[in-house]
Amino acid sequence: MTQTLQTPAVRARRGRLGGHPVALMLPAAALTAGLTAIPIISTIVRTIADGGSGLARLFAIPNFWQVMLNTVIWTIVSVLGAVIIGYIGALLLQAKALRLTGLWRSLIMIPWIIPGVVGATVWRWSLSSDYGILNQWLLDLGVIPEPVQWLSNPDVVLYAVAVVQVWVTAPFAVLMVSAALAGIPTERYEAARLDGASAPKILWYIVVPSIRATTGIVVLTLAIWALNSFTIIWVMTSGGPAGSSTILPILLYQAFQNGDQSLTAAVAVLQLAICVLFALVYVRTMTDLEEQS
Amino acid sequence: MNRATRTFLAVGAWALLAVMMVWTLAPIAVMVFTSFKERNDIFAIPATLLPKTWTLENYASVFTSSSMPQALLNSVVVGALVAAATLVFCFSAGYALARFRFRSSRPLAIFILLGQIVPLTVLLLPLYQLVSSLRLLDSTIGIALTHLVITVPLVTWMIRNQIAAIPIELEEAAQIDGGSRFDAVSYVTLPIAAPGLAAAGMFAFLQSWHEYLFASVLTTSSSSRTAPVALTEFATEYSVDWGATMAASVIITVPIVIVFIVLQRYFVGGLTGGAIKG
Amino acid sequence: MAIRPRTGVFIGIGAIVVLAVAGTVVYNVAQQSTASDANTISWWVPDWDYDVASDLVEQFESDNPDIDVELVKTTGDTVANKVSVALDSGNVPDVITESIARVKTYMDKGQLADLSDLYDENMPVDDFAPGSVDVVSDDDGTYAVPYRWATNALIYNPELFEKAGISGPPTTWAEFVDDAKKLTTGDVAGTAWPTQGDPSDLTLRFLDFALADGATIENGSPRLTDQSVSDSLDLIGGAIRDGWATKSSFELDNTGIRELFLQGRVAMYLGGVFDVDTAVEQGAPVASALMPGPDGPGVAQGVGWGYLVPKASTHQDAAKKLVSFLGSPENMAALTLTFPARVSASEDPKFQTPERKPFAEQLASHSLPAPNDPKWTSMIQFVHDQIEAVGLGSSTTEQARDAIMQQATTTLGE
Repeated sequence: MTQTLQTPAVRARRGRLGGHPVALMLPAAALTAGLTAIPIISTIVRTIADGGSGLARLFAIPNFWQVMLNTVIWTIVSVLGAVIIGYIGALLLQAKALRLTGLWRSLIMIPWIIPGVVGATVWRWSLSSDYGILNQWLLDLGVIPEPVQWLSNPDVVLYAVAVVQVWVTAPFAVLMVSAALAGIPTERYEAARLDGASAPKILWYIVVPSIRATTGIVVLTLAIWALNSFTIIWVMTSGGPAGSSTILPILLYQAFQNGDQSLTAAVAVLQLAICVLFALVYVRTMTDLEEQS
Repeated sequence: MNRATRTFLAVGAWALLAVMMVWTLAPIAVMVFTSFKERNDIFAIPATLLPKTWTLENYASVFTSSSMPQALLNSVVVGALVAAATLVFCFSAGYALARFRFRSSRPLAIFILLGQIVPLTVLLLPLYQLVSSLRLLDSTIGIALTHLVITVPLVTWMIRNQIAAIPIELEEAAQIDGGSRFDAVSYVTLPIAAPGLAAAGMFAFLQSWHEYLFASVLTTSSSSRTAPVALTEFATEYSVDWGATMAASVIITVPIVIVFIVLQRYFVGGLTGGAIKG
Repeated sequence: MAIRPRTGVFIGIGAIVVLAVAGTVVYNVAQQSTASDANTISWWVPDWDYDVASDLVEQFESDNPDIDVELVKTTGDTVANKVSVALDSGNVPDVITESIARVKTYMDKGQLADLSDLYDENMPVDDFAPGSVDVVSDDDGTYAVPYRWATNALIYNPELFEKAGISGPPTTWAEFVDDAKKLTTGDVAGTAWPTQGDPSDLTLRFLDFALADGATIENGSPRLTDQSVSDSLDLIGGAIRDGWATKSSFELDNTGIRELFLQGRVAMYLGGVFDVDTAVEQGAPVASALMPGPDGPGVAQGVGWGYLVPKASTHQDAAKKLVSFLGSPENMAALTLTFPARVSASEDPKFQTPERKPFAEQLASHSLPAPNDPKWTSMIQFVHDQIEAVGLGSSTTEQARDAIMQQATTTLGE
């Protein structure tokens, strides 16, 4: 691909035909502002107005640090898992050897389409120590000597539920990466092959850079989902046993159900702060990458 | 690459696909088989995947004594509205953010993104009051409006990235031929961006599809109830009719999968072939 | 500037979408709010009551031709949110069926209308189950009419008991522990505790034990003692740890335990009358008895549902008429799946079956209303987790007891 010369004429044309960018942005900006900024501000105000007692109580919750640690582990495991499976799936579906890829891609979407409660419940049944199929199969295959307490062993439970989060969210990664892969012009592959590049090199030098932006937004979205996810854990373990699978959104839900407004506001602010951090890292990384290219 | 390697890779690809399908569909199989099980069979010990006796009574009860069919329609309508409105809003915003570097573009972009991050419980009461003041309570449009909050921020960024990746020279080439900027967009940018836009549209649709909190509070009658809320009808005070819940789940999933299969052609690559020349 | 066809189509679609949405909004705002019929009242009813409610409404409407009742279905999962949002926003129906446990929150916010004038000679306060009206009243009035009120009791499998050579259900704690240990063999567990799902299911049983052992409830708030907490922890957490309550309790909620019981995998447990009805329906062996206490019948907490009238309702008189109608013994008996809140209503034969008798007795003679202080509600998760910690063996009973007592002092201020 050749670059047009950055002649003054070209630059001028770009600026002049700019039109009114702000006008184009107004609908989206106004909508978002109106609908979300005001409640955010009011939540922050409410948290500060009661003297920070909500925040103080939040940090005083006995297993608060365990909850934070769980949240970190949960986020890392579920984002990594979904990204890996998403990439493998999307790349696989590009393989020339496969037929009916449209069908497979649609089937892969199913975990994302079924109601969250249903998916979580089916997994809960399958992982149950009393009547779960998974333990039965593993026992029959001789892989394990006795049933694993997937959902009641405090050391295992957080990872078990994270697997379910991966199962539900990986389709999103497959979708996004597939769309991005579809945008890579085939000439690039051909040019690379003509130059004698091998498959791994093509992957590394052509594919990955082209979908860098997509990778960024996929990771961001997965992280936001992980930090707001509560149905899966709530249905499968209610945050137990003894808080070993409780993450921040569960804490928020518990405070909300109790009608404890100041605690709810405090947890919401904390969750907001963490997500804002992610968003800023994302924006910084993305714009830096774009500046480079 | 010789024939042996090619066959090996082909077999490998199919094998990996099989693994991926098992991983994806095993729980779905449980869901589907459960929908054909009788009440006692569902929690039987030892657990069996297949029903001992197959029954259609779960499907019958979903169709005859629940509001699920109507709710499915409502969810589809709301989802379609949300997807359409999201794409319209976000395309304009995303295009502007991608193409125009004006001073407030970065803070504005970040500001938009922040909208995605808010926990929904914080927004519940304010949005309820907004929808109520617009007299849109208990209507599909009202719900669709609130869903825009959870779709617009991220989709704006998705589209922005998509467009930023399309070289502006392509649009300029179209304009040299005498077209307006709008034409450049619709004849050049949109086709190239189509896979990304289709993905963003599906994303918006599914975000709306799954949304439960607002839908449960904003609707009272079955004429506007959406699927996630209607699903809770199968839970009575002390027990849940899982057979019917699974049947309802199958009923609402199948049409969406079919639609996705139909939309798959937007993901075919090679649309840009020939667009870029020396 | 000429616009080419495809561009035109896209711009057209965009414009249509925007106009359609804007148009609908404008239309809705401009339209006169549907003249709320001076005498149409709306009643939010949970879906399990809906059918019976429709019949009752027909009767009510024929008795009161000038009032129309519009029924709106809520579901168990959505009712709490819907009601609190409605009350907070002022956009309220006229009658709401809500759980008594949540009434205090609304009461404290001043969102409910005073219904004390409904408690007349046709609906006397002392006909209601002990304490059920107190928990929905404060110094200024009474804010709800309970119509369902029930407790847990002991549910057991007589066949498993016979097989283990035990002649009858346990009547004291010592017998309870003994029997459970004897019954735990092979696939069968003596008992099970619901640690999953709603944490208040577990703490309800915990408090049931504590209340029989020295703890009390004052002003809707529990007053715990070291002894009662420690004994209750042993009975629940200790049981899981020692194995005579199934270790899979960590995965079980009320439904899970019921299912295991129906499969003959749990010999006895503390549960509600709905479970008994289900077992009878399924033809599974079942019998019930009073909850065992330290040395005799134990104490069970009553929970239930009632009718509220929001203060912001614009049809309070009509609403109150409906509530009064629903509060009659026959109508109460028709609507309730468990037990009616009025003692006279439970004379209906459907509440007098042999399996239900112990529940009726527990309710009438050995029950207290459950605490409804929001401060206790905020502590429930903590107490629940402490019980689980004992069950896991990660805390000793003494450590858990101390933690609970300390939290109680801080939160409940005793």
